[in-house]
Amino acid sequence: MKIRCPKLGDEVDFGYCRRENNGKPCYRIFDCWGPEVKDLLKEDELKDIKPPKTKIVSLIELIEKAKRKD
Amino acid sequence: MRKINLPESELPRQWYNILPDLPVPLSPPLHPKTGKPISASDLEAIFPPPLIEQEFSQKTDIEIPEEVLEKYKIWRPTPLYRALNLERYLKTPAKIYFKNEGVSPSGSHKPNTAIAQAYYNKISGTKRLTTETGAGQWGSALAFSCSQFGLECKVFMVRISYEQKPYRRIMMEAWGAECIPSPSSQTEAGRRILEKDPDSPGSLGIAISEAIELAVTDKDTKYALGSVLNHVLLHQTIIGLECKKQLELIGEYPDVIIGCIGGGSNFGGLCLPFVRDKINGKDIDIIAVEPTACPTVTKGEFAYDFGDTACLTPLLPMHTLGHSFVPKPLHAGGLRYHGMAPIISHLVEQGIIKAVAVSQLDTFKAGIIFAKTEGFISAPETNHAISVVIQEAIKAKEEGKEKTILFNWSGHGLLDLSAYNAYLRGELIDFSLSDDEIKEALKEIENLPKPKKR
Repeated sequence: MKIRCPKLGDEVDFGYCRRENNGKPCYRIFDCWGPEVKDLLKEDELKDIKPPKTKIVSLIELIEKAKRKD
Repeated sequence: MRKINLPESELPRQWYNILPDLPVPLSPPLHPKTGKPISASDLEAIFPPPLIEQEFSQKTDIEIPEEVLEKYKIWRPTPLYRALNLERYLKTPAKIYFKNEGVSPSGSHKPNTAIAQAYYNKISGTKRLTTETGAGQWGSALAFSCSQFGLECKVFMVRISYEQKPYRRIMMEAWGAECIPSPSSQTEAGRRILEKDPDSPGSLGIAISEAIELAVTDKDTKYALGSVLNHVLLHQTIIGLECKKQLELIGEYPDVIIGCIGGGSNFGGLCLPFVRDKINGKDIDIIAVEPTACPTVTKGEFAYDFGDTACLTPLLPMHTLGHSFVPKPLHAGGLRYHGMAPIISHLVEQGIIKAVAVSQLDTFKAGIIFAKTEGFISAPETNHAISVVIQEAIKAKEEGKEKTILFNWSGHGLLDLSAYNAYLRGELIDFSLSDDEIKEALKEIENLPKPKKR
């Protein structure tokens, strides 16, 4: 059983969506799989589903992070 | 007439920048650290100066360099088709036109900006471009474009797609790009993930981190993004600008414009030149279509709330966050996720563009109808637009109106046949099922491995 991931443009199973965000569930998991999958997630996983930042802000943060490594 | 071609001499020579024409200006994104508007200098580590200038430009018409026009001519102007067979199949009085962006070398609209970005990097002294890609549509467009300007190209491809979708990887390699499964051992971001989880399937987030790290830490490397940003939508306006000329040739003007949205670039590319007309008084329905598999709208089981004050984040089900929620219709909400172009989100908020969501099985059903009538097999994302085109054409029949519908056929689906295979074999699920059917379907995934504890 798969869905087409709108972020990836590819078919994925639920296991992928569950760990898509650095091992945590993708923020679109309910949008894509429906609210019923809530029952399959643990409490701490539910807490981990948070809205991401806007793209440009994410880019700025990644630039800052990479500069610190440099 | 079935096909409206524009001669090369009529290729638009300027892109259209909507920013100065917006009735309400776009709020500037704020720097996460300083809280001040993001400035050009914040982006110079990853983008060359001409692209940063375009990102913030307040000029309405921006010259397309001759070198870019020459490359565009490899596949542009793209044909505008009248979907006569689809009209007959639907028995609709509506006239349906589609812009075929699938004729580009990589098979989608993506090279419209990839070529421009490669050019501006080349003249700015960049030696290598890097990016992330999911299933490879953007990565292949950038690989092609870099090859046209003699730039090296390094693409971090999400590992699950790298393994599932080899053909676009092979295309990238054929154009001379290096395609690396992400997470990789080439960056600290990738190594950190692999240490924790050597079998990580990757994600776009990880792949972006790797690409940005490379661009920031190597003076000869810059980063390229295929959607969301203002300069990307600017380059894509070539689609709508050509369309206007083609429709003028046959004395037509659209009543309804439809496009699918992921990051907003193909939709923006088609509609923004028409949005200018709408702002100036033209009566046009402009509809953005996005995917949903969620039955929430139809079943009304959940209420939604905004995830942040900028209203750019996804609407989240109440049971996940426990906030106080105000019910909102999903059709307006899904656009507010972080991957959407701010210009498009803004136009929706201003009521200039309407957003609707369609379920994935409906989109494939529409794609099959289109393939059987018009012959072309569409990219799955394009099927979203087709699904709403069919709805609008049926509506026109019911209302007895001779509407003119225009949509962007943003790419072919010949490298996405696995998705069609899954649909045709009944392996793709949809949540238009009954509760019992959903529960039955979910039983299959109960025993999947749980994520590792960190």
